[in-house]
Amino acid sequence: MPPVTPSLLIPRVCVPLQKKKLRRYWEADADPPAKKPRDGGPGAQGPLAATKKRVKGLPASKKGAMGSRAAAKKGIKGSPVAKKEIKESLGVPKKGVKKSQVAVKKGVKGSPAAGKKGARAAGAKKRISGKQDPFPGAAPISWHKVKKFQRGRKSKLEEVSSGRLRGRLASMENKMELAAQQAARAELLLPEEPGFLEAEPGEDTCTIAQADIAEAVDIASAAKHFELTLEQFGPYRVDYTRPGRHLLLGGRHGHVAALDWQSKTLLCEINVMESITDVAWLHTETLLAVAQRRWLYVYDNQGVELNCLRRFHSVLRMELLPYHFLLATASETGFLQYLDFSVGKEVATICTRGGRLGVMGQNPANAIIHLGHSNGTVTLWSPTVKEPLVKMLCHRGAMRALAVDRTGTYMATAGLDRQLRVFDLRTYRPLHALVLPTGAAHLAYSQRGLLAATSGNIVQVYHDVSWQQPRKPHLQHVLPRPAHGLRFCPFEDVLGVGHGAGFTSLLVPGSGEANFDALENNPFRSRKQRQEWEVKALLEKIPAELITLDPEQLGQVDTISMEQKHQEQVERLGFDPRAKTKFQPRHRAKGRSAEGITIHPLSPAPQASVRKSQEKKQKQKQQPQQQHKSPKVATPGQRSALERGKGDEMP
Amino acid sequence: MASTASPPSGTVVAAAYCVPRNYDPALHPFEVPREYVRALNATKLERVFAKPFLASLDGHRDGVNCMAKHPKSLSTVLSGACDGEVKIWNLTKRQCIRTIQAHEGFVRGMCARFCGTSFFTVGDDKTVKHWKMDGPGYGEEEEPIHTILGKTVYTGIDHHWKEAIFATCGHQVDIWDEQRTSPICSLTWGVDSISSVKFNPIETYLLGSCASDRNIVLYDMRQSTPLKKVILDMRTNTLCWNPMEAFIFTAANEDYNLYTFDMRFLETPVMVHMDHVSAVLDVDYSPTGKEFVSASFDKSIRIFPVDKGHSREVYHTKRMQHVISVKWSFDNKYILCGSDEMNIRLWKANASEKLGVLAPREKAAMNYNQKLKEKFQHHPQIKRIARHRHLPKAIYSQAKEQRIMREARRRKDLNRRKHSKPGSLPFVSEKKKHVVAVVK
Repeated sequence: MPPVTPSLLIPRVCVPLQKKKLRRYWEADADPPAKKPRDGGPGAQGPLAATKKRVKGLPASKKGAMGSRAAAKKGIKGSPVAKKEIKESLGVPKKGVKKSQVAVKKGVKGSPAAGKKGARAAGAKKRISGKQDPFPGAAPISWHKVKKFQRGRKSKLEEVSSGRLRGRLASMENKMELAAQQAARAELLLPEEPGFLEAEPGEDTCTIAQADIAEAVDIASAAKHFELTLEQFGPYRVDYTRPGRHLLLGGRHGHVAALDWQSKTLLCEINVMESITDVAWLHTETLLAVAQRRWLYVYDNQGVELNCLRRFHSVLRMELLPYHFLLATASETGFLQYLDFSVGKEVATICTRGGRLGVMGQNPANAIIHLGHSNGTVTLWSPTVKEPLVKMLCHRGAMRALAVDRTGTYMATAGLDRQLRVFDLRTYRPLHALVLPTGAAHLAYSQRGLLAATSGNIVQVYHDVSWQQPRKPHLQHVLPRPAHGLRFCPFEDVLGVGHGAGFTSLLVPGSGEANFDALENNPFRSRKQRQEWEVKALLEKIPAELITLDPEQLGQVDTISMEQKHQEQVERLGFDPRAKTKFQPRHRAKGRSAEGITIHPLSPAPQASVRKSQEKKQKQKQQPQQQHKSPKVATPGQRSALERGKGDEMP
Repeated sequence: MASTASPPSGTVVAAAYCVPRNYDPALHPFEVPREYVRALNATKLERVFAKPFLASLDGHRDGVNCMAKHPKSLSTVLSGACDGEVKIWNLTKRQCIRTIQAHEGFVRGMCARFCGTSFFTVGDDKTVKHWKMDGPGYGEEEEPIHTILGKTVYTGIDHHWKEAIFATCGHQVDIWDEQRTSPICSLTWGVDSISSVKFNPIETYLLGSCASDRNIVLYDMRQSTPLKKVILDMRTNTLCWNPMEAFIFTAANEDYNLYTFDMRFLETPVMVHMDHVSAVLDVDYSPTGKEFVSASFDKSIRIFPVDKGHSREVYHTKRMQHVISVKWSFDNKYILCGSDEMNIRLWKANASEKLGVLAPREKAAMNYNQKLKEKFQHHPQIKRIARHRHLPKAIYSQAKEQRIMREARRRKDLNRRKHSKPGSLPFVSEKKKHVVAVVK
């Protein structure tokens, strides 16, 4: 790319009104054909880079200093797609330019209707000198970008009675809005874009083989497609650490291997001499849990056995709840157990009465455990409740696999009835169903919502399953043997599959989150950073009692118990403290007395008022007594017990 | 923008600064529970670090009866004792820098001139003395600039905030010009002794005074007669004007309570502050006008927010006896209290605050924690920890006893109300209960 002198020349090409056109700084940003901040930088992919197959390998592209531009070789030759994209990208700034010009015109004319754009229109007003303010305010930002960062509902200010409270709420709302906008603006600065896979017209993405993808991407990304042939200790369970840097393999015949899969360095490799049902990393890459035939064991990354948890026996599946420092295990005997591995205590043991628990998943958004049962139901569990929170009938036959996406909105299930179904967890209703030839045995959701399913030795990846009926798989790959474990690698476009003949790492463009947050999960963290992160994470360990279906509930006002509280208060006090007092007209003496000083007793002394009321009572008492003397006979029910004898003689 | 390029291996600095952020809410699950846990931790840490006591200034040979802040120097404070001795202290060195035998008998009141060059004292010997703030030169004698001999005992003094005028109180409120030996005017309303007088710092012509016939009387210096007065249930010891809101003042009362009044509407106090278990002897506002500190006969001092009925903080030590005077420093950071057992104590206004210069990250963390605590303050667990204070046994049992008494009274009222005609026993709010009358 030749260096292009910025901006001023370019609108002359696309905009007819170029003469006095002054550009705003944000317009320069959306500048059409060639504005390129830095050559080769990760953010610098112009639309030219669009190719037949574009695959972006993630952070490695940073490491290897090879953006996905390196992948551009293949499809550039004839691509109509590329041209189209260029046009589109040209179109966008055009629009923006025109709009702002209209605003300028209106402002000059002095039309009253110019106010729609608010600050911008005001800024665009001409000055006396005839110059425009080149920086008339913040750049406009579209609402759907901001919406992603907004939380909860806005408070209804008009319903608030107290003026002071309303003011406070209003200022708080403003601050939240500002925070959301700033977060949305900061999104512009994110260095990476998610990868994608695009086929030429008429070609299907699911026909693209892994080898093709590996050939199209840069070397560093291509190195992430590999296969480990481990035929001896066969079928393997798989787990990645949360930053996605380390891989754990557990073969059914006792083989455990922990490795840094990117540099392919082995941390440890042991044989536990017992069959293994599942493996899981604990919160960091230093600890790993292995569910063996009898008990649950914890090893460190040197393969040293640290702990044998005999209370956790015949465990079939494990799920790590990282923010709670809990390891949830589902056992052959139908027990769901929670281990707090930061202190080594068993937090809860729940007898699910659901038979053998071979299907387990967690909702990453609220740490609820989903269990699949042989009668086709899925039950949702939290450690504090001994009954399932929700019980859903999902399939006609037994459940085989389930997975929940990162936002906790969608759940994919597979059953023996060969169906793959997607449920909406907000309404617990099915969204789509798909019949697979042999049914899916393992499911996994990626960070960006791709769904992987294995049936036999075929791995299929589906795209956009949550909002449309899937027809064809997005990608497909055939393994040498049937799959046994399936995990997407976080922050990488990689799908790890454990199978009877070892482990295969597949490239799935667009599956991983492109931009990591270093304070949450940093794939490049040093040892020191990891230790610091561990301390901080332990300090903010969420107690297990706070696992509920809606984790936001903790921040909301508990209105029901507030009502109860109020009622109790009314009962206790004998009056309603919130009730408004009756309006009492102010005592106003007309004119002043000669002395110029008057005393207004504010309230009658309590004693005086009591005395008055007592006198009144006395009077009232006397009156009925007088009435009583009249020949009117009271019914026996009304009289007191002491007078019981008298009444009969009276008349 | 933080660079995402991988740090050059081995350079700690580069690694430390390489923190790419992504604020996408999907990457930060459990936002509310995590914030809650952080708030809980912050609240616990606040209680752990709550060490408010800084220093004790000893040197007086009798109880400290009154104190005055230096209007220009944060490190200087003046104190007067019951044996007539006045001491000037340097707070940074925590030393007494000057001692004067000012009066015979008590030093009843003292105030610094607004310019900070001199100060006034009144004592039991019926004199008003005007002193230089700086000590005498070499060979000179320690002598006041002026001495005014009065006919009666003066019990309090305050200086005008802008002009060369001061006011004393005793049998009447006298307003003096600094240059004259007789008062410009004397204001009386009824015959009784007046215990304290204070100039309003904003509307500088206004004065407030507390008389021992249970009155709080307000004056305007430009008029020859008092403005109005409010009669309370019991005697008010002192009052203090809010330095930010001209109409607001707080009165320290013998009935263990403090009353914040709006001087335009004296019929009902804006707020009744209850928590002390004995007579409140002194009160002073923070310079922000949002909080005030009160000293009590129950050997403790308490900090109240102006708009809250209960204190947010209570300070006590084993050795502190009845606290007679209290001051809040002009930088809003420290509190000074002078007590019966001859000591002046220096406290932090915010018990868990870290003193000294804060690093930017420290400051950011502090602000973040502050906001979190505020956000989750109503959660029962957090509230319980934040409210917990250790109290000396005497105060604790006394408070308990009074709670029982109050409860009994309330129950009795409730029973009375139950057994009388509806409406015949009107509910009188706590605010209105203690005001007897307003006289104009």
